[in-house]
Amino acid sequence: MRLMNVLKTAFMALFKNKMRSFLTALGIIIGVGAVISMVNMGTGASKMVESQISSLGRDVIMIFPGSSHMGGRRGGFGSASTLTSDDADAIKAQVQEVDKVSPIVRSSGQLVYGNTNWSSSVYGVYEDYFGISNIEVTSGRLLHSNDIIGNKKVCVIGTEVAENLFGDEDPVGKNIRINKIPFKIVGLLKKKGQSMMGQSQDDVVYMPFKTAQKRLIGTTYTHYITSSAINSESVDAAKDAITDLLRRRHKITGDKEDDFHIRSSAEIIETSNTIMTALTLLLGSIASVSLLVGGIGIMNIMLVSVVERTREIGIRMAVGARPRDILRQFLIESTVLSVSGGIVGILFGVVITFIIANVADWEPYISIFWTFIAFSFSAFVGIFFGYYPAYKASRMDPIEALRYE
Amino acid sequence: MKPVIDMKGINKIYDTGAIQLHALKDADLIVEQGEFLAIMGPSGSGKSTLMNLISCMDRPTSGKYLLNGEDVSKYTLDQLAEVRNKRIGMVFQSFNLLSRTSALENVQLPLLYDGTSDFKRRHDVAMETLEEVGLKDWWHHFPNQLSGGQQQRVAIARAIVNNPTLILADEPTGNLDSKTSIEIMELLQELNGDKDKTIIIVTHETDIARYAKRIINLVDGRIIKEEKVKNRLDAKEELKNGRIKKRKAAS
Repeated sequence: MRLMNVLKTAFMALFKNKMRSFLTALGIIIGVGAVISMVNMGTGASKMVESQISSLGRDVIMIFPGSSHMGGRRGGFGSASTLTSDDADAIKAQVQEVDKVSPIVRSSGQLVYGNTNWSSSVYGVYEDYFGISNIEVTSGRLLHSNDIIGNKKVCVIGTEVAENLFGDEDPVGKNIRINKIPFKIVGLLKKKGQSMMGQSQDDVVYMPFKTAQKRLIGTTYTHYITSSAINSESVDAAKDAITDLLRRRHKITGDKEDDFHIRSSAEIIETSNTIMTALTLLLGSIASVSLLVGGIGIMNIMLVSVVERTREIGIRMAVGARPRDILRQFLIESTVLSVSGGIVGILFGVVITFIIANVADWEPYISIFWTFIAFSFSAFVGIFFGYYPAYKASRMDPIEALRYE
Repeated sequence: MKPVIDMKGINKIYDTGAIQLHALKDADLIVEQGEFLAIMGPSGSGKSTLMNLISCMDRPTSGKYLLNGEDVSKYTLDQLAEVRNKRIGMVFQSFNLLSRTSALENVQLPLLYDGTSDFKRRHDVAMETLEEVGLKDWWHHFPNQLSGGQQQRVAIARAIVNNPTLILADEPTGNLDSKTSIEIMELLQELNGDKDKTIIIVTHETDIARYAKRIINLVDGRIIKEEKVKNRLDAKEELKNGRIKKRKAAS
């Protein structure tokens, strides 16, 4: 029996039991769809996080204060106030592997222009910050070292702030009040979109570090320090040098714990990649279980089908079907079921991927590799779970089969 | 010329573990080309067993079965399937057509297993065969849309579509009323007479057996009596003269 005939016979047999065939294939559709959408979701999420992090640059080193100790109570990560802008200046001056350094303080500020007002995040930074974080202006200028040294009351604002305070007006050169202190806007930043935490990176105001620290916040510490190595190869050396320097400056001797933490962007990318890969694998393997269940559904239906069609098997054998013809017929039938389920499942999975990407607001990502894997697995499931019922059918005694009622 | 069937010392024992059933005991049977043989006997006499062996659906426990001079008693399952496909046509009491499958496709069935890959050729051959049994216009009907007699004609078309020399019919009229039965016998007599097919039927009805040329009787797994049919009935004549005896109610 030629393949075309077998295929036709299989399709006809499946078509005669439309509802049953559909429900059986549904198991595979859901299985394949789940595998594909889960894996794509995991991959899409990790791609997004990766792109967010790598927009920082691979050579960024961040220094956070350690946790605070108040008697027996320990605060969380970064809760201590151990870093100062002097630390930042010392790093810049003494660590030769470091290129740019900026301490950062952040606060919320109430912005007022005319009779409109807007609440936004206010950052106090050095001019180096813009280089480290890849921040550019569309009009006006960034903060200069003159602004920083002179503690000038100037600021640059993000597009969202500009829209909310000025509408269509050009904000550059305008004066606004931040927490009642007058500031002059010297630059409008380029649109950046959301950060990996989902915050808008355009709803921000940057001003000279000391201005923010003294006037707005009233502290002597910095929330954290960001810096960049001269190149990505010297990140590790820079980390070691910074650690040594800060331990000396903070008078931490012997095996006492550091009162600060150093993270490089490469580490963060690596960690998040590991987490995302694990997450993707987890989602994928959970989804694979449903594919397996779908396969068992096929086996179940094929077993029922073989018993139901005992007489048909007898007839076919009586007119000259060999055992292997019967085996092939049922095997093809289960494979057609699972493969067509697989194809619909791929479409289903792709649709789900797009819906999830749309809801989560990231780039939809379709993994060709996993699509292929899920599809081949569905074909394999059809052959694997179809084999036993098909074998049973092929071993039937034609005389018994013809007598079956 | 070699006989179509040459069986010698055929034994068939069904071993069910607890008991052994000796269904056929040293059966010898020779059927020549062009014969029309009726096998008779009470139920349990081994008729069906003999039929299953002749039709190569089963293999004898011992003995020799030459089909067209070839010893098929030691054939593999695949070889037996090929014999059933190419050299033997089978007709059953309950028609055994595939349901929800058109008459044409039912007739095509044996062609699917003989390597006829050409769709058009399969179609044409099956169509011609349907025409032979007078059902050309019914090719697209499903079995449940056909009368019993028509279904049996489709079954006969399926049996002869591969042009076998031997046609086996197991109670072919068992489910038919008397007029339809004679029509089926007419068709079989035609195949026997005009096409020179060797035909073997199993029946328990003496009237039906009288359409054959020779009758053998089976009792307890042994062939006990063999006779030539005297006053052989001609189905065509019977139908023309309308001399149809009331034999039984249609079932």
